[in-house]
Amino acid sequence: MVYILEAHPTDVWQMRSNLKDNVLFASPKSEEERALVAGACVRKLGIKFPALLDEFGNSTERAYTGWPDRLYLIDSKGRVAYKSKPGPFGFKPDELGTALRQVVGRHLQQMSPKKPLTADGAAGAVGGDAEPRLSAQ
Amino acid sequence: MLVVVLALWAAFTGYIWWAMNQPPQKFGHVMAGLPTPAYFVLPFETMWTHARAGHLHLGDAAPDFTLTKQDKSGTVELAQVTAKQPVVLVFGSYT
Repeated sequence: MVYILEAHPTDVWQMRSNLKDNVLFASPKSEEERALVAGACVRKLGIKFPALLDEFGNSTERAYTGWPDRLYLIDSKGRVAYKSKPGPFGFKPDELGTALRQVVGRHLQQMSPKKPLTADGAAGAVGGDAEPRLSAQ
Repeated sequence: MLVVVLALWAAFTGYIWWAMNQPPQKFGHVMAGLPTPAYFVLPFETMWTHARAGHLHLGDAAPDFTLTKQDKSGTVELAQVTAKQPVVLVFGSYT
């Protein structure tokens, strides 16, 4: 996960759902505050995959147009293999899952070209240790 | 009368389109000032999808970054990870 600037902080655009879920945070005012809110996010949502903090100038968010949420898949050549539409409407883990199976399948085939991969084999590899994991966040 | 309503709608649509193209915090402040039903009169999702399309296309080189891990255990450079395996990036926040 790339933790970016808050979507609905109390001081900008708080939603009714924030009150209902009791997820109330003001916009972090410093790098340290951002790290604290990101920590709460990871703990409370039970995010198990690695989480990174966008720097306070939001350079990564801007480079990827990531706000408020968005999914990407980068292949092992460092190229964009899947880009969701902007969230919240475009945040579709199922679409990512489909792209992920294809890209991981190709990746594994390149690693061991002699072993033909079945669709099952490719899909099964996603849960493997070194593979990217998918979460319906 | 209809002309006035259409002109108001066009002006409002233009204003929201402008806001969607501002940095996220500015857009958030504009939206926070509107009563919720106001944006149901707009093709909001279509406008948002276009305004936030971004500059990256499929097949483009992913912009590299080096960011701190949330658990403070070090930094991660994207290019170093993608050199070994495909990587999923999930952009998001808590609220």
